[in-house]
Amino acid sequence: MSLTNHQLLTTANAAYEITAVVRDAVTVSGVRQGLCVVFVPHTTAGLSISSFWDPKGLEDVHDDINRLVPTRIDFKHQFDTPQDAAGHVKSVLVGVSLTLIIADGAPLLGHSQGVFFNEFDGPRQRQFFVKCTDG
Amino acid sequence: MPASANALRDQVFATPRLLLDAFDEIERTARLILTTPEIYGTRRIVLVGSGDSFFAAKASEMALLSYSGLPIEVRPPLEAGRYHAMLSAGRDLSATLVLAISNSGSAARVAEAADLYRRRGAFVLALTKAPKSRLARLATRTLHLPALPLPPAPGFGPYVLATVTLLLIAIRIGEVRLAITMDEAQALRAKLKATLTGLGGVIESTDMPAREAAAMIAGRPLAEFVGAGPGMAVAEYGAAKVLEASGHHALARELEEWTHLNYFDAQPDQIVTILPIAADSVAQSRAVELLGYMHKLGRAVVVIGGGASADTARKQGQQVIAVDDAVPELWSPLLLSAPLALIAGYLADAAGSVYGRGGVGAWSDSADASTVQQGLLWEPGT
Repeated sequence: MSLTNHQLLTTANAAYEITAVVRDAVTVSGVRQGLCVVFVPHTTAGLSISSFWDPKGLEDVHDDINRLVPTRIDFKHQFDTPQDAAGHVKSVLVGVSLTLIIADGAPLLGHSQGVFFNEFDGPRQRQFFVKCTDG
Repeated sequence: MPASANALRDQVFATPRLLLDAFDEIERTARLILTTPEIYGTRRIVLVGSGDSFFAAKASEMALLSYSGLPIEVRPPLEAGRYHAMLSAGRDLSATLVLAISNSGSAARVAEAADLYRRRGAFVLALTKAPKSRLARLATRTLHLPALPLPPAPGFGPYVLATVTLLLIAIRIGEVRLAITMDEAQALRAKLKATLTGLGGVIESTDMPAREAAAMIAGRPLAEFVGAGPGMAVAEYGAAKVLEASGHHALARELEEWTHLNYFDAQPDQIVTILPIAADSVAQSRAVELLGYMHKLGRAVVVIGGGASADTARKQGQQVIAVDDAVPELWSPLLLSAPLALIAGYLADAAGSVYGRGGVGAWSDSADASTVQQGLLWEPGT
C-alpha cells in the first residue's frame, strides 16, 4: 500500500491531465494487482476520465459544465466569490475521487482515456492524492 | 515603550497591538458587509470623509483603484454632498457606492453628504464606531468599526484603522469581482496583517529620529509637507497632526504643485520641508529633482521613507528618517504616517501645546468638536 501527494498549480479553469502522474504513483507503489484511488481534497475542483486526444474536447466538457452551472451573482454562498460558489456546485457534480483498477502494475485505462484534474476556481495552488492497495 | 507625558506618542505606540487584536474581526466584517449583487451593481466608488477620515480615504484610494477595477473618487464632504451628489446623473448615482467615513459618526458634513447621496439613489456605506450616530442613521448600511481603547490625543489609531478597513474592502471588492483571485486576496490579507506587525517596528525605529526632526521644525516658522500619490495622503495627515497637536504653522502640497507654488516662497530658510515617500514610489525620480531645487534654495528637508530620495537627501546633508520595510507603495501610508504623528507629538510636547488649543479663548467654538459636529445639515433649495 502507498499514499502519495502531488502538487498542481492551476492557471485557469480547465482540465489538467494527470494521467502520467497517476501511472508513476502506481509504479512506485509496487502494487501489481489492486485498486488505485485518486482523491482531490478541494471543494471547487474535481476529477474525471475523458479522452485526451483532442484538447478541444476537454474545453467542450468545461463549456457545458459552465452552461449547467454558470458563474452568477445570486448564489447564497457569498463568503467567497461567485466563481467559488459556482465551483462548489461543479465539484459536487463532477466528484472529487476516482477509483481505478490496477492490472499488471498499471492503472487500467482505455486507449483514449486520460485522468484529469478539473479546476473550477483557478488559478489556485492545488494538490491531489493517489492511494494504491493490493487486492 | 518608556513612560511618557506625550499622549499622541502613547497613542502611536499603542496602535499596532490593538489593531492586530481586532484585525480578524475587521476582516470578517469587511468581507460580509456588501453582498455579491451589491458589489456587482457598483460602477463607481466615492469616498467621503473629513480630517483623518479624508486622509484615510486618500491613503487607500490607489489600492481601491488597483484591486477593484472600478473608478474611484475621493471627495471632501461639502463638495461631495452639495455639488457632486446634487449634480451627478441619477443613472450614475444608482450605480455608485459611497463610503462615508467618520470614526465618531458625528461629522456633520459627512452625514449631510451621506444623506444627499442616499436620497439621490446611491448606496451609502457608513464606516463608524458609532452605530447609532447621525451618520449611521442616514446611511444605507453601517460598517461598525471597533472602538480602540487608545490614549486621547490627535488621531493616529482611528486613521490607521480606517485605512486598514478601506484596504480590506478594496481587497474584498476586487476578489468578488474576480479582478484578483481568492489566493491573491488571501495573500494580501495576510500581508496586511503582517504590515501591522511591521508598523510596530517602524514606530520603534523612527521614534528618536522623529524627536530630532521635531526639534528642527520647532526652530522654523513653517512646516511644509510634500507628497505624491498615496504619499500625498501622508503629507496631508502630517500637516494636520502638526497643526492639531502643536498649532505650529503647517501645510501640505502635492509634489508637482510644489514647483508651481511653494518653490517661490521668499523665505525658504524659514521652512522645513518634510517629504514622506515610499522606497518603491513611482514618484521617486521627480522627488529627486525637487530635492535639488530645495537644496539650492537652502531649505531644511526631512525625507521619511527610502529609495533614491533618501540617498539624495543624505548626500545633501539633510535628515532622513528611514522606513525601509518592504511594503508596496499603495500601502505605504500605513507606515510612513507613524513618524509624522510622532513628530507632531514631540513638537507639541516641547512647546507645551495643548491639543486643539484646548477649545478655549479664540478657539472656544471648537470645544466638544462643535465646529465640525454642530453645523446645520443643508437642505437642497435652501
